[in-house]
Amino acid sequence: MTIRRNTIRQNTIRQNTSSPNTSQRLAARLGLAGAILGMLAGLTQMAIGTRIPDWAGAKDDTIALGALTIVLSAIAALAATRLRTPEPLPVAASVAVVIAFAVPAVLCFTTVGRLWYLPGTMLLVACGSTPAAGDTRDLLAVVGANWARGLVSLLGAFVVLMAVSATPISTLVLGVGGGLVVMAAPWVSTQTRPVVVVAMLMAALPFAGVTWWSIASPLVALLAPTIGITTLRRTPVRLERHQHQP
Amino acid sequence: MTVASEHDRDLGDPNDVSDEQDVVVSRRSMLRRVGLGAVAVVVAGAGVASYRVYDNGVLDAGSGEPYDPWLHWRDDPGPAGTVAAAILAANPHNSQSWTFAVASSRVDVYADPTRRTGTLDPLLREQHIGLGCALENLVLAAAARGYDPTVALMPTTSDPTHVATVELAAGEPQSSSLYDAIGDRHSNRGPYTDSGVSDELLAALTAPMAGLDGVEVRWFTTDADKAALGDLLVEATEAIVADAQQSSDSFEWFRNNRDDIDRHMDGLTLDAQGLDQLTLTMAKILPATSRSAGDQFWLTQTRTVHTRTAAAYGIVTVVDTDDPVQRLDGGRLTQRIHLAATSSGLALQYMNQITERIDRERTTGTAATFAPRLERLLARPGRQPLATFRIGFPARVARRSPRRPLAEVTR
Repeated sequence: MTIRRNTIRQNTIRQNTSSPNTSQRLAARLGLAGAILGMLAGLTQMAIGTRIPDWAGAKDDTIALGALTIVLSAIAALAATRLRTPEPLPVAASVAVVIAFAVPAVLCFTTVGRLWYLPGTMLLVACGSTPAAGDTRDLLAVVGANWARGLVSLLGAFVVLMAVSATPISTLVLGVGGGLVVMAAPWVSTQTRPVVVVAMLMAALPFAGVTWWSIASPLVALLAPTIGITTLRRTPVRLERHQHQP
Repeated sequence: MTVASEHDRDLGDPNDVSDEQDVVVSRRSMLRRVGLGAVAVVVAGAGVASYRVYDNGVLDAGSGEPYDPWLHWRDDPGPAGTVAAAILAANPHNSQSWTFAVASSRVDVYADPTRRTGTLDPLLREQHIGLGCALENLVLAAAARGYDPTVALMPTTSDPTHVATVELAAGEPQSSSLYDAIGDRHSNRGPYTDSGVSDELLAALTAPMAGLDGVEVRWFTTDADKAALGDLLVEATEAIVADAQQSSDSFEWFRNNRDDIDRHMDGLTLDAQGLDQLTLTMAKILPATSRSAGDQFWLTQTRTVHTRTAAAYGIVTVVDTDDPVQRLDGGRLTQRIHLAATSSGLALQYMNQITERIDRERTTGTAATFAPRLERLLARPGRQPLATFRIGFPARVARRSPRRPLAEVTR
């Protein structure tokens, strides 16, 4: 049985500009401004975080969290400078910029409290403007084709997130190392599929084993290889197209 | 089955696209998308759980600055070291209502009036008991450090917060099993095993009563005695839960997440509730409980775990519970019992619901419903109940509770 839907649409007229469009300029400016404000927020946290507990999120370790905020903001700043090119960014670069904006934008709400409200908002807007600057359909195509890989990498990031708070240090190392392997595994050559799957299992299972009571780490250890196997196809995910049969 | 959509067209080669072209995607592709969407939702759930694991300290429970005092209480050989041991003592709701003035040969112990527990302890009975517990640790630590401690209770008539002075004369180091147990003593709110506690063992717990004349322990070991006291404890718990002010004052000392623990370094925590690992993790991952939900949890635990699995109860008695000196001595005895129990592999939990209701009824002028019933159960004419606890062999290991650092409690 075939369900068909007729669509009527003009071919997309792709922009062929030699200079960045308004969205890209906006994203670059907002991203850079947000990143600079973010670094200032991190500096403020480090310098006087203990004297402004409400504004700084009443964090216990203001030095480390302030430093982390500065590092993440610096990454966002680098991404913003990447947007300041005379031509629209390639799709892959746009995805990288979106991630570089989104991760600090979300994460730093938990590191410097209210000090992040303004820079975080600016980075989120920049994050939203970046895809709009290029060809959204191409971007969606790339995201769609790598959706499962992204999920696996996200699961690896979850492992790292859990592990950084773990004690003793051996558990921390086990988790961070394993999480990084899980993050990287979906992106290596598909020719080494069995090796990659085994690596993913070896990376996720030990940490899940020693932290079984956390519920989340066994769940991630189960999900990562399960989803990971589906991503390790020899050919990229491709949509099948058929001519309409009357 | 194949399905076409406008979006599918967007992903293809533009050369293949015409104005009226149908784009057909196989059922397999569609199912794959639906599957990935569902997986994405599961991954998002895993993300939320992972963040809660990180944010609520599931993997580093009992470590970090709020718990450092449990690791370093032996380090300082001087008078400050005696305070390091004192702050590990049992105290009501882990309010740590104490401050210390440390000199080269003397330590003064003060009550901290800013850290009272409100209507749970309107007559300051529990505060004095907790200070007595701290005093006992301090004395044990002084002896272990080579001091010959001399204790004077309530030494300043004009200052009721000055509860003790401990003179530290030179002496011989005297370690003891009680001293060695200071770092391992924790209130165990989990279930206890079916193993009974022999009368000989109970007697051994109260053997070290030197210098504490006037303080006694009444043990409840028979099934009938335990059932009667257990029922009264459950009733008292219900009364506290039904008393909005007492419930609020209790909830104020509950630290629901790791941020609160790091910030306050006091209070009752999920880790200290004696839960099994998976239940504890779920409690940390799920949103924080409300006061009423917490009350119901406490009531259920009292009914199904605390009273149900108690091998025995003990009630510390004195002649006059309004006398701060007797309260302090009572606190010292309860701490000794708890340390001795720890040395013997026993678990202990204070259960002060009945006395909290007795004091509440006294201060509000309502009819005394709990005092006469407890006196009947006590069956010790001329003596009054000061503090109640249950005891038994633990089914689970008790966890540490947070402590404020020395710098915050010394003058």
